[in-house]
Amino acid sequence: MPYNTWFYLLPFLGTSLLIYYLMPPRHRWTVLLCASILFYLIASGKLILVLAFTTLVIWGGALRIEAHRKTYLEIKDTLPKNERKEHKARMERQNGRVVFAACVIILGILFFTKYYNFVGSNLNLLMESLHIGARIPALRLVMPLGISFYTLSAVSYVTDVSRERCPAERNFFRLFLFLIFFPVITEGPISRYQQLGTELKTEHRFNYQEFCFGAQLIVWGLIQKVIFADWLNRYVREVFKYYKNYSGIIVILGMLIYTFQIYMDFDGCVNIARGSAQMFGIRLTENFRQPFFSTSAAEFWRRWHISLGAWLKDYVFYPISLSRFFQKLSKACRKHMNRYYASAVPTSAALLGVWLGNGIWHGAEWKYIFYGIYYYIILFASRMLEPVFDKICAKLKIDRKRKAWHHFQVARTFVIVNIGMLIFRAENLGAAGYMLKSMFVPWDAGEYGSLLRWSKIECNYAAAVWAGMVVAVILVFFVGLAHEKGIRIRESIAAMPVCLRWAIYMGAVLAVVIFGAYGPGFGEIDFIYAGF
Amino acid sequence: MQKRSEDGDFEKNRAEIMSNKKAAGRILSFLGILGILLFGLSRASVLMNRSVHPLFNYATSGIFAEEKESIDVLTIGDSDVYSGLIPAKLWELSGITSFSWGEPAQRPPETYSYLKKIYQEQNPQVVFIDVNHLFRDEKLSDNLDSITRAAIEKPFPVVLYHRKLDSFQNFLAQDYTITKGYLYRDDAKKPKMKKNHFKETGKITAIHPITRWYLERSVELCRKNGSSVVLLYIPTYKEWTYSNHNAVMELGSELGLPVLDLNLEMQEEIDWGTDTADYGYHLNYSGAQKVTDRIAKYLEDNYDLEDHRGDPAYQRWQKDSEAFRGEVEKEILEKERREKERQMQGA
Repeated sequence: MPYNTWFYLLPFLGTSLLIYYLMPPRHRWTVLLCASILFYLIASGKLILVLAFTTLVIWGGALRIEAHRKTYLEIKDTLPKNERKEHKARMERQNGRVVFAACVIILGILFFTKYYNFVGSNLNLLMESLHIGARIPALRLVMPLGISFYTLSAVSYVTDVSRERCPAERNFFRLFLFLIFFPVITEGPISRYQQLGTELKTEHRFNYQEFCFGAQLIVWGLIQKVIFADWLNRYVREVFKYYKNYSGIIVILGMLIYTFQIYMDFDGCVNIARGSAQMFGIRLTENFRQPFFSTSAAEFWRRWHISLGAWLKDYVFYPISLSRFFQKLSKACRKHMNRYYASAVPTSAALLGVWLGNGIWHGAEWKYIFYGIYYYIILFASRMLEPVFDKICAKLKIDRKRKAWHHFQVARTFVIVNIGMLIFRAENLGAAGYMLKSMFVPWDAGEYGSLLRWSKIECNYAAAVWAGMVVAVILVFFVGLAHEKGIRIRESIAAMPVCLRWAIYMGAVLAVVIFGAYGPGFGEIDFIYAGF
Repeated sequence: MQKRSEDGDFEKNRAEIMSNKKAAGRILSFLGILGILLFGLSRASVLMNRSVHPLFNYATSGIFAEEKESIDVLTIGDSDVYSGLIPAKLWELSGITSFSWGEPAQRPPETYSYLKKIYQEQNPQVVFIDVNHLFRDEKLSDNLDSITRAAIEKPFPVVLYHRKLDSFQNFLAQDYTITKGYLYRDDAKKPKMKKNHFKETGKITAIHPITRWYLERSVELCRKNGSSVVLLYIPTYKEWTYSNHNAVMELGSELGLPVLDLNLEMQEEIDWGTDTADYGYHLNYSGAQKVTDRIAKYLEDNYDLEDHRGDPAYQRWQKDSEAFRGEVEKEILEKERREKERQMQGA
């Protein structure tokens, strides 16, 4: 159930809030659980059983881990020192096996539902080229809602329990709520039990300011999604679907507009999710922090889809780089390389797993895998060539502390990100290559010259849409700039006189109603990341 | 000590209740003002949804400007309805008064809600319910959203007409229409034709239970008001499928309703090269004329509706029908003039 539907925003969220605040605080979590189950049943029906099974696996796994630890702690003091180490190592091995088994099961469900047909079709191609007669049959698989998001949360929970970062949850239903919590189930943020689990356990009392801030965040999310992102969908769809008809400026515009569209769409969804949770008094983590102010691709990924980047760092990068093989590699590098490369080479090698994981997570297509590799190559090259760049800058006497250099870095990152987005959105890898080449072919308007007027796609508001887009970009830029400077816009508005404050809030709601790209002629434009 | 602590808790709770009451008051005031603004905007949007051009004034609100209980036949559904049936021509052919009620992408819960409103003013003897809109909401969430939207539209139709809010000139338009809900379109854009489009199949498209429930309530409402109901499938090349046809036939037999699927019945008469305005989604004027001819014949064969032509009480219908024809002729001449101008510029 998309968050930008009437049903979600009014009867569903409204009734949930009402019942939630009418309940005594200690029972309020059960309202959230019931609402989340209802939300999931409406969206995915009986596939809720898959989610329940995942919960069961991590619930049982975490209790087992804690039982092993308890047994060790009980006998720890009675053991002589030399045996303590041995028992501890045994306990860690046992827990490692539990984490491994749980991860195999829950990641296995994700891989089966999401990647079976992709792997099958590629193996079939391989067997065909090797003249092997066998074929893997294609299956009609339906993915449970939010599986890519809740699976990662489930992995993080069971791993964190084994790492003693959080205690095992004894109540199955509380853990179920952590995974199924309706504001995060569709597009995240990918939650950690230490944060969201604790928030869900806390008895929240009604807080007028939190309630209002939540509602404001929802309205801002709706503006981002329904006004900024959805109006652009027609242009993006046209350019990326019929890419062979276009070249030059039209393709460049298509790429830039898509980047803006996906940012507004994803950030808008997360803001609606965060706002919904905040109305219940629950804080969710940020998923975006002004990504287009980044000065490098690495920084971009610390600001864009923050929860995914952090997850990959904690549960892919660290386990790889702390593995025995990488310890040996690191040792070897220290022997044969200078200090910089001895640190950079193993780190960069471990990052390959992170970027492949990032690419594959987005979808079962080669273009997504290439998307991950694209970022890996850029980050690898920038790390390896950093000493060279330092020398070049020193020779050219470039002052890297100057603002101009900072702006150059932001612009360079912007170009890198946009090329990545083109690969991400293109029909396939071939289409991405074609579009990248066609950008350099001058645009011959001819038959499709009307696209700039948006009329090819039967839009009667061409001038208004272009003007609106410019206004939107400027608005988003200044909102981002304010956040960069640490200005809290919601708090600034809250400090205004009531008439002005209410005028702003009402203006925002009316803007969504009047200018929103919804209703006849638009259809329902799903949140882009809900498809992953 | 204990007592003081209890008093403290009591005071704290009281303060919390008071502040919550204050907060609830503020929230309700905010929503109240917002509601008033939305209501005002809604009123404006309904007015701007009309058109100052008589040929393009096809707003559904026109039915409420008709004389009470003067409509014999109502056709209700989505955009296929306002594109596919010409009440002025039906009058010309058989002297039957009718109205084509269609909102873009209309859903069954809206149909039910609109019917309730229509029956307050009109009491048609025959109601054609367009079935194309039964296939729009396939998922439970879509259906729930449609139900919610239908409920919101009642007090706040701005959510339906929000894109018309820039048509300020339409404030001067009239509620009363000569098109009686029909939208004139003369473009002819041929769809991509498929080889086996009309090939018979045993497959039956599933109609969501909530969609069906709303249809049944609509049918019940019509029957309660003494109207005969017909399930009508107006030709639409893009959206019709044989499995949809099967679903409608099954539904008709289960509900005891006659079904008129003009996609199949008129496959020889409708020329998709000349009769559609937008690549097979909707009929244009040429296609709508053919459908209206067929409907006139169907009504004549199956219902005993009175021919009002010559009845002084229905003089206005005769005038409207002539005015509509006049407007169409003017539009055709205007189009020819524009065509000639373009050719001359080209030369």
